[in-house]
Amino acid sequence: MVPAGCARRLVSILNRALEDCAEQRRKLDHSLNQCQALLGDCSLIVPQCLSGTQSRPGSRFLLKIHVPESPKLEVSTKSEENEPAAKELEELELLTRALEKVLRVRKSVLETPLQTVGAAEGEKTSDKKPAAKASITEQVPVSKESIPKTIKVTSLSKKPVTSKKASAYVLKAPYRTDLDVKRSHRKAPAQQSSRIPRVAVKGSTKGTSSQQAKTNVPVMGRKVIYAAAGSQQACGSPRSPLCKEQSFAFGDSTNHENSGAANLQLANPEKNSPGSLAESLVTQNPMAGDIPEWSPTPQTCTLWEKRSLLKLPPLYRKTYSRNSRLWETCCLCQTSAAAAATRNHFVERIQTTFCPSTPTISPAEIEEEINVLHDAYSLLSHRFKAENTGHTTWQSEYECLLTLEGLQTTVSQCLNKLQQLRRAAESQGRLQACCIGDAGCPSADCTPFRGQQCGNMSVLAVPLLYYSSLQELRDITALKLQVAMLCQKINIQKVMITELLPVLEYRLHHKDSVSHLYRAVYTLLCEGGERFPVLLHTRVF
Amino acid sequence: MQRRAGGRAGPLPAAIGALCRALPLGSRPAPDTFRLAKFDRPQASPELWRLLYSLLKQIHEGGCTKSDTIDTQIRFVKSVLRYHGYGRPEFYQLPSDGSVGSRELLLAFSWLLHRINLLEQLLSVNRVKIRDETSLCTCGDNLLKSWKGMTELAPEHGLKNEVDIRYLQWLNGRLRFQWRSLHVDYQEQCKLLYKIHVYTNGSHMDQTVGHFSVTETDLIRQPDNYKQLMQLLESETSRLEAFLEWKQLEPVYWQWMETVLDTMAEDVFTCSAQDICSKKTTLANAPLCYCSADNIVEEIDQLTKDLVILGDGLCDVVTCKKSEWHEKIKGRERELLDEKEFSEAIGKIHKAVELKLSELKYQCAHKKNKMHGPCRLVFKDKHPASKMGFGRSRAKEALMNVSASELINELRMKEARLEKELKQLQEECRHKLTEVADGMDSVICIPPMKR
Repeated sequence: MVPAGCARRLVSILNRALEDCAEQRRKLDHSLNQCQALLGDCSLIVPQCLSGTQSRPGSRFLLKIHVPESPKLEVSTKSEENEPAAKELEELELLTRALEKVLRVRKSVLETPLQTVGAAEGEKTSDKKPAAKASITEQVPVSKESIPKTIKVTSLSKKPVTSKKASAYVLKAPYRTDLDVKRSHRKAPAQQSSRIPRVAVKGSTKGTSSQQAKTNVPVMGRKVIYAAAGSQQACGSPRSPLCKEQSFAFGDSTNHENSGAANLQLANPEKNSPGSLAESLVTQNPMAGDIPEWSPTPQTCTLWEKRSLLKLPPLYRKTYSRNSRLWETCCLCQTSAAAAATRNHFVERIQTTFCPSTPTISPAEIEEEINVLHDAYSLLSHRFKAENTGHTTWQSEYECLLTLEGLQTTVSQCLNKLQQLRRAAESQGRLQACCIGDAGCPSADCTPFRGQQCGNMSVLAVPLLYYSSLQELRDITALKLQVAMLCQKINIQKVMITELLPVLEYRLHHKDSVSHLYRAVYTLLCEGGERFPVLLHTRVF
Repeated sequence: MQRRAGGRAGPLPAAIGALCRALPLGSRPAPDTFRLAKFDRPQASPELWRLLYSLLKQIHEGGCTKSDTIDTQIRFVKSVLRYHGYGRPEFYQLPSDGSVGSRELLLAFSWLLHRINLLEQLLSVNRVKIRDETSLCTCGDNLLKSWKGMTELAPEHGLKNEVDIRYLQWLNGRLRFQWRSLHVDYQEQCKLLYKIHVYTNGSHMDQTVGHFSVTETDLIRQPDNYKQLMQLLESETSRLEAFLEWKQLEPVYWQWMETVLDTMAEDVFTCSAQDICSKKTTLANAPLCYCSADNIVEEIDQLTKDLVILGDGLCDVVTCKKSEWHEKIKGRERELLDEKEFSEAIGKIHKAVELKLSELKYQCAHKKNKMHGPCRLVFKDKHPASKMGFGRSRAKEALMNVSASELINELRMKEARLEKELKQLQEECRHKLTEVADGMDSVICIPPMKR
């Protein structure tokens, strides 16, 4: 138990953080929906440039991001994840033995330590059954889905097609096949080219069956999907080389249901048992079957197919060009000398009427200066680290020495500046005392507001951020999020330190039993809430 | 008749007209308001308060709340002006019902025009979002901004009693999970965005971009829904035109503002600014009005601490290196190195270091806008086959633009720094808690294994 006062602050800080996250997710959801709608009716064929990214651990704090992509991947990620778990288990085993020994020495087994150990072990073991999990995830959906699929497959005639190509494709998750097949069927007549797709389907089916006849049914199902994709491709617009070279995956069709399912899994990480995983895969199936935006109307064509025909409306083009030209002109527009002179004269005149105690530097400027100094600090420490590595020649050593001395002077300059800023910030208080209106309590005059947006908003030009691959985009996003998260964690950590440590010390001082509290505080403060220490009671009752 | 007061009947209304048209649609004042304000007519003051409020709100909070009472609005405007360092005591003494003070408000408005580049900021903030935008930094993030000023938090309702620590753990776990989901969603968004960019690449008439943005793709999909967007664009275009016009006529306005100051001087017989100030200083030390001043001092202290640590580290290394260096020099002397050659080499090194340091000093002392603020996300195929934009002002653009790898490096550095900070905090806690555990009777604490 934590006293109300301290808990209140922590609870509200955490709730606030949760709200912020939720808010951000809502916004993101909106834009996701929009993008999906744009790609939505066209999401069957997608050149996937992700193949390299799948196993990438850029998503450091999330191993199962790609859940929606395909269970196959899921499996492979799991087994990776598995490795450390097994090792840990080993260590845990050792620890357990050590503990047992300690206990034996004490000649008494108390309930608490055993429970703790047991709990810890339990956590680990649930993590550690991926083999079973993997196999089950593969099997369970299959049993449900393979039946309709196989029927469809067999109903088609056979014609050989390069089975080589087939192997180039990333196989589709079984649970989505159904949908894709249906769709290709529906779509084919709509496009009035029913022959071609059918041929394609047949062909690949044949290829599959010859190749994979002995493997289990789901593989067949997957192959069918590929075939469906192939058919789409065949009836679509002229092929791009990109299409052929790159592997296809259906990540694209990952619509909300799927990511929803992924989230669902993530929602209860501890429930990560094979059963639940399979369950979520199965349950999502019926939903996927009738996503409205997927029902194709005769005219809908994929963004990908249409891409060569895409044209913005003429009115928009005209407005856009005029608008961007004007922006450019405005960016280049300089204040004339005459204007600057008259303006400055006015500003100087008005500033002579300012309250004499007005500090020369405004709070806004102080903030800005501090940001500059923050950047300077990171630059300096970075340089320091870079400079402080081995030097072989006396020249480079001398250069290093001089540079370090230079850094030293820069640091002291920054410190001087900080002192000035501090004085200025303090004197802001005095300004308030001077200039506050006589309308009662001065604090009533205070309205909190957000500082200016960072970046130079008074410059009209917006910089362009160039990226050239999906990976870059992913990295940027993940890193930005990571940075934001770390900032928040640090903030929360600081609050927790000030709130929780005194409580613990107080309890301890009063000889209360603190082991639960201690464990909780330890995991929150030292392990980011992820792992627990083991507490061993040695007293014999 | 009044119009002649400025002495330039023609250009002045034109200048004020252009100024008004350059302001966002919703907050435009009637041009006549300016004339009324010059003579401090009370009827102009409510409109000017509203104007200031809505403009500053757009800059500082990203949106105008109509529901605020006039009293709140006035307080907000005063706080923001204080934040920017406006120091006319008469302004801060204006009554909170907004009934008088139009001239003071006109002065404040004009001061802001210059001081914070009000017009430019408004244009930037209200830029129609037809492009795919992102930000280069995380400082603008709501998540962080709202955090900064959080010293005292609103009391959580329904928390009268003690709280089980497990509840905190649960909340913390939920938070971690939220972040994960956010990450998943963001990655998904990246994928979709990338697809849109790649598929539409080469279709856009703007050669610097080459592909459609999400909004533009949507425009193709549902052209009928975009009347509003077109209107917004048109109105922005006319604002930009007005801005250019204003830039031409600006001097007239500033000259006229001087006549406003003259009129004011004639009108004022009451106490001068200084009198007011000396009267007010007798007030007890009022709490800081500018709310985050406390935080600022705290932040300064933190940064000072960091810099001192860095300085100490540097000092140690430099002393050590220096003595090493002197040792070596002695050795060299024994070797009787050619003195001329030696001093030449030394001179060369000095020059190189000087150059390096001057660059560093510049970077340290100037605002590095490059990695801050909003930017437009543009996909550019690495393959040379993709058309490059026309060569107009390429070099200039390159100065402004950022490449993904640059940004990634910057972010990685930042991430590493923060990670270290967090680790350090946790390490300190571990240390403290180990001490606590040592103090506990008959309990052995076995920390979890390091990963």
